[in-house]
Amino acid sequence: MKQTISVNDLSSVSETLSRALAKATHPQSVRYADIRLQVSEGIGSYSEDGTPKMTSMDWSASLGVRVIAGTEFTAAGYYGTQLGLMDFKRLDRVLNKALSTASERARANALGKTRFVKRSGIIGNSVQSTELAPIPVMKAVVEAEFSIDPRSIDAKRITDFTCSAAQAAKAFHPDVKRVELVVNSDVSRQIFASSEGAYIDQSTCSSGGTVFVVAQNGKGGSPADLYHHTGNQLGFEAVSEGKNAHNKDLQAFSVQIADEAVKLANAQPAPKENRPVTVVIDPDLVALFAHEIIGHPSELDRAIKMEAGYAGRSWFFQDLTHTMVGKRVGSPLLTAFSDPTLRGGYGYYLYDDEGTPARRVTHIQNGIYRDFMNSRQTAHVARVKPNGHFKANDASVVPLIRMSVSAIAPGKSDPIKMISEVKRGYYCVGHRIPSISESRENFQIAPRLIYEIRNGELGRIYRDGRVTADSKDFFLSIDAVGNDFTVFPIPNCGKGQPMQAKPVGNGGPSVRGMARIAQGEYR
Amino acid sequence: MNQLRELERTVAQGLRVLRKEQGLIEGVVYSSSNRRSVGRLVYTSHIPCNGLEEPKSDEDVGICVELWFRKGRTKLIGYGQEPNELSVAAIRRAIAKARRDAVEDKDFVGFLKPKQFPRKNRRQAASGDPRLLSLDEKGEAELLARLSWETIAGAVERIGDYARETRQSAKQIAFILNGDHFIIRERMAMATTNGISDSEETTVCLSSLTAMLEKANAKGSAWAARNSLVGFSAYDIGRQAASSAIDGVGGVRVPGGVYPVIFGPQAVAELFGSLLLPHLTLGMVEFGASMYQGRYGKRIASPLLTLCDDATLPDGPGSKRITCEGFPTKRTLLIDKGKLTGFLSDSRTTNKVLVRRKESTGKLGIDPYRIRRAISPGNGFRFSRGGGRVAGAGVGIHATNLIVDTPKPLSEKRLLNGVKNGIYIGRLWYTYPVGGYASGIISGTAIADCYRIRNGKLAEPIVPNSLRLEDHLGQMMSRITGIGDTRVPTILWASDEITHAPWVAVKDVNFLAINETSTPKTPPTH
Repeated sequence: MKQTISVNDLSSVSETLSRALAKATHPQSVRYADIRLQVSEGIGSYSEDGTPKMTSMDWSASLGVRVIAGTEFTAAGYYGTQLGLMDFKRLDRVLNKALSTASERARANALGKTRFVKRSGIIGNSVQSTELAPIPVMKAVVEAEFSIDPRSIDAKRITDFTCSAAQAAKAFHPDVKRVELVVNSDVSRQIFASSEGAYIDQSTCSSGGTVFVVAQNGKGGSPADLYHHTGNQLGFEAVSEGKNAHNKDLQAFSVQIADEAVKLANAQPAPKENRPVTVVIDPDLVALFAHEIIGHPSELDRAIKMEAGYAGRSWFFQDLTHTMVGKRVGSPLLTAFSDPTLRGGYGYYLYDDEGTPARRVTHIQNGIYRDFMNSRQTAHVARVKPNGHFKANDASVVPLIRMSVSAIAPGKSDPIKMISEVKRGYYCVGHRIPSISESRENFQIAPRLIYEIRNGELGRIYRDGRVTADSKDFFLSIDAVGNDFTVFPIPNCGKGQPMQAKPVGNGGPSVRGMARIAQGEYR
Repeated sequence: MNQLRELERTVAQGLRVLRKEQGLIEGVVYSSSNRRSVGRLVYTSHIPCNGLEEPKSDEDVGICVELWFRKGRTKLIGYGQEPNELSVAAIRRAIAKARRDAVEDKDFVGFLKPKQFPRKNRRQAASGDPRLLSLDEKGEAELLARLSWETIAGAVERIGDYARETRQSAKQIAFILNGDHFIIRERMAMATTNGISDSEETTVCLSSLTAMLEKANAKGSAWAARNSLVGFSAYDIGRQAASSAIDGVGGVRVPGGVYPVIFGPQAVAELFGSLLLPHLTLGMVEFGASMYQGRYGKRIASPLLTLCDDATLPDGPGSKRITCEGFPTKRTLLIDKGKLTGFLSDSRTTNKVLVRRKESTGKLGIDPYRIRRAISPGNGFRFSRGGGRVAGAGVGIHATNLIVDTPKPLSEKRLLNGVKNGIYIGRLWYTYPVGGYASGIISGTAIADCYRIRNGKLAEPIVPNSLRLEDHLGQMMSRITGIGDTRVPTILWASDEITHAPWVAVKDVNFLAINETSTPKTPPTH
């Protein structure tokens, strides 16, 4: 008797999905329905200082459906759930129930919408039927890429691997007081099917590790706590063979972070620079800039105020007739994009979660703002073509507009010269923790390490400082963009209610501009 | 959702199966059924919108088993789970996973035992709203639609009045209403070989609204956190949100600088619930990154501050009768008149701290055996997926009802009277420990419901997103000058705990002016 579900079980569901969709859209009032069905298999392990704490090899399955229904006005309804072994034996029933529940919600919503519009007069006129911009109806299969299949890793192997890496980082230096390491490797397959006839079968692998380190020097200085992540959309080789942006296996990566924590623990707090100074930012830190102050404000749902309650708005967009499109937002050296078809990090895919073929979107071209990431619904509102950026972190939850591989484009400068040309400034390395203002128009982003630059040479290291500026001022000040483009894995971009933590990819080359430095200590 | 008695039956059956496991030392069987139902609202008067954007839910049902067993001379601890099935077969599969993946963790010395329970065992009734717990699909669809459209109607009608008064069109006022009604229904049951057998069902009803008059750059909020919808008016909360946005019209910029500040409930929830709380968990102290390493029993804040977590609060939206380890919940006094007196913990962390006695003495500043009550495992929960007590999640340390209190409560009027020239910060945004946890440095932006204070009175609203807080969290706690007498249950995005937040006055708080006019600049040369 079957004891487990595997991604292979999705190979035989297409007729079942088609039947369910046909049934769901049979009533005239139902205009559209789609289904996402996902299975993941993976393994994870957690170690503290080389001691195993937990290992788990498991599978998960989930389902999410959307229905758009209504007569006078249409509206959407959604339903999602985790699935178990028995659900695959009665998938017809499970799907019908899910679609029926979503349909019920869509109809109740449509009724409420109709009543509201009728009673609200002019002020209700902005409320409209839920419409989706057209897309080509696709049928496609996308295979996962890996050389070491995550399903081939057993509990002992990953436990030993994780513990060795954690132990190596702990043993690196006496100032390292604690190392905690979490490693995961999985393969995931999602089927998307719609009442329009789309059927997309997309698989992906994902493997990564997050290391948490505390270091404290023997002189009783303040502890330094750091964490960082490496990984890739590949099999276990992403962590075991260094096939990641850092070009390090997990042990070497963990030791690197331990080394940085020791440096911080022995460093002076960053001085305050009240006026903008020259900062050279390395690609790892640029990844967070690309994420926070270009990627997020380029999400069209955020721009058209759909996320004002939690995630915020966008300074690139005021309303449909007042935007920064076509206007200068940065230096002519600044170009930035989101491209799901680019490998690196966790942002690669070929179709989003409503079947739209993914394509590159240029946000900023030579300093001029160009375009937003969108979904079918937001594309309809903005009267543009969908560009395939509607993604959820699990099939059971509603997709949102998400970054894919969102990055600053490479330039031509030599990163070494970018530093050697600086008389006085700072070289800021590696991303740590950000704080961004609500429309992304101001930032305070912490690098892991800040090096002083004097006469083109790297000098002392500072701790706990932050790079801070108004976003537009910083973009306009960029005077060099490096040729060292890299895409990094970002495992936990938070958005939505309930909050979804989605892995994405962000990156760029080294960048030089002007910003203030916030002090690393308060007395 | 599955019924509580089904979960209870499952864990009872599971325990019988578990007890037969070879080499068993101790074990836990846990089952849960959770549903998260949301009506997400997006209304914009100047951009096409849907109003009720997403009536949705997601749910999980499942069982997990934790197994501590001998294999030869080694003791191993393992975890296994099975989703969406409550059967003996599922339990057996979970046990097989737990055995297969088990590891040797020398810090693990066993699961919670009833002898670890507090002597005074206040067992209150469960706090679930029976009407919500028995809601069927049709009822839920109608409820989500009704709540959401009533809220939108309340907001829009209030704004409609405002638009008429000020003779503006819908496009001109550019009104935004965002937010959600979020209903969490949780059921759990557990049984352990140590003699714990218990269950609970609860409901949590959260509403969070942000309203904005975008052209006027005025922003306001309204929210509610309850364990029931009885007495809740979705229409009124919509009106309230709109009114708070209207109150923000005519905002001014204030210069950056150091100010006496009164923080309102949402800002207090961000400072205490999101930022301070991690430093008061035993896990963070044990990890080594808490600001309060080695400070047990010492003064760490103003003597005006008393802070506790109380899962037994009657009708508290975060209240639970038992933890997900079966521990009867309690009130944990974290800070007593400025002194560090306790930590939130679960059994695994408490036991680890006790086992590593010497190391823990350094980290706590006292022998952990002397403060067993202060580190007792009263906060081990399986909160996950944005709401719910999930069998597929491990136990972690979580707060429930975080209560900001004081031995000398002041009325809001008296708090204001104490500020001649300062600012009231209603809502903070994206406030994080930007210098790392141990440094205590935090930064975030003031985004809504902010006002100047002049001569003891709220004066002009402050333009949203024009001030950035940049200060040291621990030092701010020492600079508290007054705490209000009225607490509001307040929620934060992506948090499981409810902060019962009064106004809190803090002196000498540092703010930077941000988003001042951006003028084109010529890139510098080097």
